[in-house]
Amino acid sequence: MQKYIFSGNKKMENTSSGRVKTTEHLVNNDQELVEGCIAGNPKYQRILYEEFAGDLYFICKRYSHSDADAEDLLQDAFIKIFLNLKGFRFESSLRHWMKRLATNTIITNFRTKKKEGVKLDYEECEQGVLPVVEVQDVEIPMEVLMRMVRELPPGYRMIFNMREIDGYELSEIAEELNMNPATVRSQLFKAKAVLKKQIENWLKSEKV
Amino acid sequence: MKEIGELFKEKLTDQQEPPPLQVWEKIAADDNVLKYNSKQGLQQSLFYILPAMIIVAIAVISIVLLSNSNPLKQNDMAKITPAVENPATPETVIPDSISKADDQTITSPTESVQSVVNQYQTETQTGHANHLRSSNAKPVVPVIIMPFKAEVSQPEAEVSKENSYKEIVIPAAPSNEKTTVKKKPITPTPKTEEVKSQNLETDDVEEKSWEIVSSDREEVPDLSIPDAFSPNADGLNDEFGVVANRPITDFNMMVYDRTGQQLFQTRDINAGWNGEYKGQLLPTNSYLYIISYKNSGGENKIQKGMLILVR
Repeated sequence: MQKYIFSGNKKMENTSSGRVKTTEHLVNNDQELVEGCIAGNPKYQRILYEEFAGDLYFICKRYSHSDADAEDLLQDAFIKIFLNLKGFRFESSLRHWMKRLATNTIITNFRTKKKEGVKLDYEECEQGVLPVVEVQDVEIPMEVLMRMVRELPPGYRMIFNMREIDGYELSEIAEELNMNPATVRSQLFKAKAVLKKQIENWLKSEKV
Repeated sequence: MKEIGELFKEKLTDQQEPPPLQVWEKIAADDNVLKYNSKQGLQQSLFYILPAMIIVAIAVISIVLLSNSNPLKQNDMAKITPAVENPATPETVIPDSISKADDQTITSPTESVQSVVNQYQTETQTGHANHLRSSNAKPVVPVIIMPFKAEVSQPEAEVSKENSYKEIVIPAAPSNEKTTVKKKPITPTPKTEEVKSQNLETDDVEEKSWEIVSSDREEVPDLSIPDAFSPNADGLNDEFGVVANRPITDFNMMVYDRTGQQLFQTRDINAGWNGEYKGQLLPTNSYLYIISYKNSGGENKIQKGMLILVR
């Protein structure tokens, strides 16, 4: 059982000075937190947000180009979480469940955007094993990698994130995004090629 | 060397970044989300009561409609049943209702009625009246069809009238002059029935397509406004500005961010916004513009829209 000690904790000190400090409060486990939120207790709802918003915001940022889009996604995700908390069965950890729900929100959002006409590259590549893209094993700051992912075209970014970071299977991605598996494979390869070029460029600029 | 996916996965898994404060404010402002659960009892009951009320309303309406349509059928039945019960005068009653229908439909029902009547006569004589009462539907069927036939035949007549009307109207169109035709529906003036040819109809179509093209050409906007710009000093689209296609005066352009903060304002049509606010480079986002001007006719015009800043 995980304990959430909620006060003006470290995470909050990192943020902008304008953040409202909530009074100290101790939550013993997931169950108490979830039940408190379902009962409509604003204190628990605030704790749920403060505890998990950081994780979810990072995921949203990975999947979006601009911060404004990431904020919109985070808002949608939390609205879904608050409305669906009653359906949480405590079979997995609360953190895992919320991350999954956020990812699903992002996927749904992408699908509707695709219908509205975000252009995707539908070129397909032949069946077979994906060629491995390798780069020099060097230490690259997280912020730099993050920027590279966020600068990918929408379709590439979606598929790269789902496959390489969130660990979806290619067939799952094809189903979720309503795309041909061959298309998914070729897009993933192209995304990797773009990222490799980005990393090489970055290494060059660092050396000079 | 390292697989590129792993490189990213190591750094980008299970990371945290505090979101801006306004996100929570937006969520908290949504009463339906946070107070949803406390209001649940009321909302849930409403959730069930509303559809139930709708279903009841539909049921009531359908019952009323059915009860209205029933008397008609009963009248029809009343017409028929004496005919069957009085085998002496079947022809006098049935032809009245049939006479409206087509010739073809008349023959078969009368025959079948006649045969049923005959059957009835013979069967009552042999004492099987009970058996026939259970198969009462037989004599009813042909006559119930007839009123429907009569109704159907009426709209057909209307359609044929319309058709004949159209045939007169179409050739009349080319007689109008081009100037009067412009942007107005062609007024149908019935002419003599002699003028009927396909050539004239195609001429009419060509005229119309020509009109559409010309009207499109007229509507070039006063201002050409881009939807996006990329202030990265590469010499391409580094500033957001508009181009006037016609002479305009009193030009004023304002740019806002999503929270309503004014970022830029100018009265010079040749000036552009470089994506900065108080010396700070603004991030990739969508922004709003409001442009007001006076067109060559002296009218005040306002144009609003979104623009995307791409870095």
